[in-house]
This record gives sequence, C-alpha cells and structure tokens, in this order.
Amino acid sequence: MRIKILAIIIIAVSAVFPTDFYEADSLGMRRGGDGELTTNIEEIADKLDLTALEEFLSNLTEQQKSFLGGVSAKDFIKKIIAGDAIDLNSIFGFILSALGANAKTFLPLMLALIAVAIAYNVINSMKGKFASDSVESIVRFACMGITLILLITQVYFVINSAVGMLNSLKAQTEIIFPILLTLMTAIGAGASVSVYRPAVIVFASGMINLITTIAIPLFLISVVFTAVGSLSSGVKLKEMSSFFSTVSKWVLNTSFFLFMAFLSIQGITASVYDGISIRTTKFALSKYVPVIGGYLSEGFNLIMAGSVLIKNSLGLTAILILLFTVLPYVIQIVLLSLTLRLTAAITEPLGSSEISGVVGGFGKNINLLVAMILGVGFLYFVFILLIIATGNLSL
Amino acid sequence: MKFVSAWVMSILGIVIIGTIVDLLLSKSRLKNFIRSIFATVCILVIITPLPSIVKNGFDMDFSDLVGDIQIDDDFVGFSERQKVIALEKAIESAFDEEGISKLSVKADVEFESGNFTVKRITVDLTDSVINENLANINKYEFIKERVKKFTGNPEVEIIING
Repeated sequence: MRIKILAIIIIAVSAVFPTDFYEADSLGMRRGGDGELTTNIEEIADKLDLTALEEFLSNLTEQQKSFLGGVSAKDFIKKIIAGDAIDLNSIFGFILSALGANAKTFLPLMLALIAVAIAYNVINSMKGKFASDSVESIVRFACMGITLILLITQVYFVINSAVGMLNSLKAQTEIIFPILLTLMTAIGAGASVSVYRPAVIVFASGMINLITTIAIPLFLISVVFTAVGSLSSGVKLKEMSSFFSTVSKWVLNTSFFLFMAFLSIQGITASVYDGISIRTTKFALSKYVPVIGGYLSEGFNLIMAGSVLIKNSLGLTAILILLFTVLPYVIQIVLLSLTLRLTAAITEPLGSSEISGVVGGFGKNINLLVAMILGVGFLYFVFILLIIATGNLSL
Repeated sequence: MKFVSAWVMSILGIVIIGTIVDLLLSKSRLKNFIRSIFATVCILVIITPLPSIVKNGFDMDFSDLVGDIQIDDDFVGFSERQKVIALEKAIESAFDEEGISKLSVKADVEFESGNFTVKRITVDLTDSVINENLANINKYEFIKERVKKFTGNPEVEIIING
C-alpha cells in the first residue's frame, strides 16, 4: 500500500513538472544566444554567495569529495550545466565500498552471536547429565545477556549514526535552501518562495526534530522493551514494545503524510501561479510596450534562463549530496538488519529458539529506522524536485 | 527526553533484579509470590509517568528551531540590476532604430513582487550621433515622446543631458 502511495506521488510530481535539468542547449538554441547565456551563467555563478556550501563540502570525507569530482561547488554547478558532472562509475564505486566496509564491520557481530548460540545449545544438551535446571537457567540468562549487550550496543551505534546523518541533513537544508530561494526570488517566483520559506523551517526544525526527539526515542524504547522482555521469563513486555513501535510508526507516517500533502498542494499551486504571472508580465512587455517590448522580453529571458539553470544545477548538486549523505547509512542499517536475520536463520536449527527469536526480532525492528531515514531523504528529494521544477514553468 | 531514559532504565533495573532473584530461588510457592510482586512493581513503574503526562502534557525540547530562511538581498539586487541593464540596452537599441545612436540611457526602476515600474529615465546625448533625417526636429521633445512610448509609461520622469 505504501509503495503504491509512493509511486502515485512520484508519478504525480513527474507529470505536473516536466523536469529538465540540462536546459542550456535548448534555451541557447531557441534564442540564438548561446554565448550570451554562457557569459550570463558565469556572471550569476560568480555573484552567488556559496561560501556556506563550500565550507560544508570542505568538511566532507575524501571519498565524498571525489564523488563531486574534487572541485568547488561553483565549478561543479558549471560542470552540471555543461552536462558532464555525473559519473555513474563513481556512484557505483561509492555504493560498493559502503557495502564492503559495513559487511566487514558486521561479520564479527554475526560470528559472536552464533558462538553464543552454539555455547547455549551445548550446555543445554548436557541438562540432566551434568547440569541441573538451575544451572541451565543461569546459562540461559548469561547467554541472553551477552546476546542483548551485543545487539543493543550495535543498535545504539546505528541510532547514533542515524541521528548524526539527520543533523547533517538539517545543516544541508539550512545551507542549500536559502540559496535556492534567493534564485527563485531573482526569477520572480515570489508566491513559491512565500510557500517554501515556512516549509523549509518546518522541514529543518519540525520534521527532523520530530524524528530525533520523538520517533527515534520511541523506537529505542521499543527495542529496549523487546530486549528486556526476552531476558525475563517472568515479566513479558512484548506488547509494550509493540505499542511503542506502533506509536513511532504513527508519528512518522502522519507527519510525513501531512508535510508531503502540504508541500505538494501548496507548492504545485504556487508554482503554477508564478509561472502564469511571469508569463503574463512577459506577454504584457512584448504586447503593450510596442517598440522595446521584444528586446526587453529577450533580455529578461536570458537573465531568467541563467538563474533557472543555476537553480536547477544547484538542486541537482543538493540531490547528489543527499545521495552520498543518506546512502551509506541506509546501506549500513539494511546490512545490519540482513545480518541479524541471517544470524537468526543460522541459529534456529541449533535449537536455541530464544536467541534466534530475539536476534530476528531486532532485525525486524531495525527496519523502522530505515523507514525513518528513507522517509526524511524522500521528503528532502521531493522538496528539491519541486523547487527545481518551479521556475521552469515560467520559461 | 531525560525522564524517558530514566523511566526505561528503571524498568530495565526492576526486570533484571527480578530475573536474578528468580534464578536464585528454588521452585516453591515463595518463588511464584515474589515473581508476581516483581511483575506488579514493574507495572507500577511502567504507569508511573502517566499521571504527570495527563496533568502537564508533553514538554518536548524544540529550542534549536531555525529562525528564518534569509534571502540574499545582494544577489536579488544584482539580478534586478541585470534587468535594469536589459531595459537600458533595449531603449538604446530602439533609439538606434529610430536614428539616434550611441546615446547612453540610465533607468531608475522600482521593483515590487517580480514586476517593475520605470520611475525615471536619464538620457545622455554627449556621444550621440543623430541621423540627418532628424536634423530639423526638436531632439529633446522627440526623445521625451519616444521614451514615454518605449516604456509604456506617460508619467515617467525624463532627464536629458548633453
């Protein structure tokens, strides 16, 4: 059902906005002003204040920098406009290296969990010969304790990484969006700016804070209850864990749905309004100012085309930055989930159903964290896509 | 969120103590009795925050909210200046077609929500070259009349130098 809703949103956004990142050629050819347009783009790019973005990019890792070709933000934007910025090989290389690094990290965890399950199984099989029921209980408690310590340590590490990633996304929002909104103001998309300006604040402060201060702690509580419940045979906390997990999902789904609905409806309406008002101004210029209207309209088109191209390529840069910010964490969490499920599958035939159950449960629970990260990433992506598409309607 | 972690830790503590006590006791009625006591204590710890939540509601910390998204006024000003330059060039080109070339035009324009109004046009004729067909006309009146026509604004203030 969720996949269907997601597909409908993507199709609706794509259908309303025929996004074309590389418009330089078509615009230049249409107006016969390719050279003038290039000069105009250079001038706009030089005038645009990208200091904060450059500073953010300078703090990235070497691998992430190589993803952008090791050039400055300004040069990267120019490369995108020229159409030679995205290197698919480096993207795949980046994904594969993230996969390899995480697989190495999680292998010791898997081996440790299997070793605990084997030890528990061996001692359990001695029951009745060398060990009494009490010894078995103590061994069970010790084995479950070790398993839970291993699992909670790993989950806590992953949650900390996810919170760090969300804060990085917040910083990106605070850097990229003012530049994009400035470019939108320059092309005269005032209505869209007035809609997106509060939406950026709601996204950066509201949505990300909602996840870091409510959804993630609820998820953590759910994980802790799963662990504690499996530790004791006397106190069952499975339903309590399920309750917090459900609350976390509801908070996440409701807030994402409301924000997406607001952003899509308001954004689409405002962008159409802006497109019509800019076109009306251009029509009025060429029709009601008889002699210079034609010249003026062409001059304005050139200026706007430069700003729109810069805006679109900056948007694409933001999407690429988003990609290499979010992707390693998604790979890390998905790999952890798969590792835990594989461990549960391996330990199940050993007869230690309690250990395999709790490991499998953790693997299942952790998917909620992937949903949170992907959800925020998707909101950011749609937000950027709406902004990229907004000014294009006016050309 | 401090109270949440304290709450979770207290539940965790109770359950761990209960489990250890459960391990130490042998199978008897006392064990069942102690197990039910720990379960009750655990329930009490779980529901402890409920009265205060009902009374005070949630107090989440959103103190680090972003204030406002600042638009770069310098860049917007630069973009507006580019539009003004386009207007000035358009007027100069139109005069060129009318027979007055190499004149210099400066426009004073007011921008408001994407649209603009031309307030004042200053024409400098110092280096201008006037076509011989226009030799017998009053060039000042001609320029004023054409500027009003070009800008589509009869109220525009026109200053002619040179």
